[in-house]
Amino acid sequence: MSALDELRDSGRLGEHGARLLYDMVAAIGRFRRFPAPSGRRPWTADDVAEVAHAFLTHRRTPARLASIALEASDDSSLARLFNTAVLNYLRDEARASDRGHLITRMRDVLSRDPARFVRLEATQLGDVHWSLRHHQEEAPWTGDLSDLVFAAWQLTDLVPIRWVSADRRSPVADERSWQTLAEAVLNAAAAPVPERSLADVAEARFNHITRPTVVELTDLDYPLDEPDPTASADTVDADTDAIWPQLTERDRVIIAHHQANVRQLATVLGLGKSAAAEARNQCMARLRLFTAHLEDPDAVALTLADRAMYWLDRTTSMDSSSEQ
Amino acid sequence: MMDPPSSTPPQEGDDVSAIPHPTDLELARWADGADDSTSERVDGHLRTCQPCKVRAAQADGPLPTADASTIAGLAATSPQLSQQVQHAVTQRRGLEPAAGQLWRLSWRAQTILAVLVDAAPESGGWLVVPVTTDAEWADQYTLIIDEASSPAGAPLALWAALRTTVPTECLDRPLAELGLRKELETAYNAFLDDAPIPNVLPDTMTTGTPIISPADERWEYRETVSERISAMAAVAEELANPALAPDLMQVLEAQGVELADFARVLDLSTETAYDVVMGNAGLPADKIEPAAEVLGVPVDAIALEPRAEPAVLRLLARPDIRDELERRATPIGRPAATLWSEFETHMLKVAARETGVGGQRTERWEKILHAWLDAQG
Repeated sequence: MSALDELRDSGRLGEHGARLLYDMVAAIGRFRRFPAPSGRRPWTADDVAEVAHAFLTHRRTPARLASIALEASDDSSLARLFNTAVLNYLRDEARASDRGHLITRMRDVLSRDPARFVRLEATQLGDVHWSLRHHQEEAPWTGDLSDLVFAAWQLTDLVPIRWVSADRRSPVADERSWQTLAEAVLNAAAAPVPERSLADVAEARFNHITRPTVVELTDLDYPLDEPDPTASADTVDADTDAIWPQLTERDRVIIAHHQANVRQLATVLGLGKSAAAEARNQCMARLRLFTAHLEDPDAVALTLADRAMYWLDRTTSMDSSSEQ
Repeated sequence: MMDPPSSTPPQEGDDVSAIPHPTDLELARWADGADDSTSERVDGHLRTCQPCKVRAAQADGPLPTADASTIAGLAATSPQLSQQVQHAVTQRRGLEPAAGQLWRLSWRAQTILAVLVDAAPESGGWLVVPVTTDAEWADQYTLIIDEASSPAGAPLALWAALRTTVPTECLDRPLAELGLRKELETAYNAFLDDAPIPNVLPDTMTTGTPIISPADERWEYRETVSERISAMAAVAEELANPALAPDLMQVLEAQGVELADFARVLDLSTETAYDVVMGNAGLPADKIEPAAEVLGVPVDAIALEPRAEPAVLRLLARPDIRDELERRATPIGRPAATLWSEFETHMLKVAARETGVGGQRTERWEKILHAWLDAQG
């Protein structure tokens, strides 16, 4: 009996399914460099069992298992769907992007500019609201959230901070971006906005939504630690240093091949041509976003390209050298 | 560990898109020296796919193994599927396809959920809307059925704007009755009109918010869903041209014919020959027979028309369109050539998705063009 047969027959993972999950967690821990619960590398048997158990008892896993059962047509597709579900679960955990943290960060940043932003306590409006100073006397906003999300996406120069780290949470965005976002959204509302609605908008704008169930997207994982070949106090290098950790591995491969045509890029990315072109468009859009406000964006882009080529060469040749 | 992937640079013409990226477990078994067909496939994939090479290079340590009590403990912890879901995946096989049903589509190890909207008798297929289980990732034309009302044990997102026609051969299993044909039409018409969905949806149904920037991660999600449903639509071409099922590049390799020689014999540029072999372009009429002879395939297999919708190609060729794009490039500080390349990609991609089998809507191309230009700033 296969893992899929077990799932269909009993409606739950059986021995084969549990072993598949265990092996999948172990493989993902091994290749994606997520931190092990014990903090040691490589992952131990206890680390794998702990994460597999946490995955199974996570509140979203019944929905994940339902998606897998509905989509899997054979054992091969079951394994592929499980791989994505576990990977997305670990990414969610690693992002540490819970809503409480996002609201704390938002409060912290907006409180630093009391000349512009006013916090209206719960006792006044029944819920904590934020307002621009000149709108604080207006009746509370009760409009359509999508209007505020739309206003937030009109801002093209916000700089999200996407890095992941085992021991620190991302500040989500830099201070200027947080304040620009809040000002635009509160202006669009022209009234005090509930804090939770402002957080909803920030979640949408800064891509802090929960990872999908069984659809895999490019994301930040834990890349190899690499020495910086060009470290110096130079502004260009400092800007490059700030952007580098925010690039996914796929972004780095694309930037390293910035002179390749779409066909060549499709080959190195293992994608079809249209998907490769789309991946490049998105990478370039992110790069423009990260560099647009810099003093010398072209120089930073060139330095990033050099670093990406060095990184790719070093990363892939490390595998060869370790064999000798 | 087995030999590391070769550092041979990728060759133009290598087509790895047909080979899915290995799962982490497949990669682990390859790294641990498994000698089976999966590892052979992984080995071939790693010769060209650099993100996977990077992933392989990050390995540390062998896989820990689990004892029987650990496995039994995990199995005991497993959530239970709802009766609805279990019923869906075990009991409904054999049901005739009908509009409003939720189906699993499957082809060559790729799967996706979809709701059947209408039969497409001219192509022998079904007009379908792709379905996912991630409500948070929906856009404004995607109908969301919340978990409590969903027959699937999870929220369902029905991507009305991504509808396309797929051959009946892709329909793998019926899973549930959704109905919603009228609502899907309403959402699709709103998409065509670039207008909000009228407020006629039932209370149990919502939509997502608009995606207006490529920086929104939902953009990539939507593109991924679009790619997956387009892959099902493309099965029609494979069924219509069975000789293409093994890629012509593989035929070329099997015959020991180099791409450059193929191009020289037919008096084509290497680039054109590549497009022909990859199925992206048709051959001039006078080249078809000699090409079939060189490749050892039936004439029909290589007498393909280009995939792109002709109206799109005509639009792309219009000088006023190119002029307009160049005018727009300067104020937003983008090189015109880059903008043009992105535009071509976008248009051809939309065309491939929209046309699918028998669904041409040529009046929309210019509107799509202007929407795209506006989105660039």
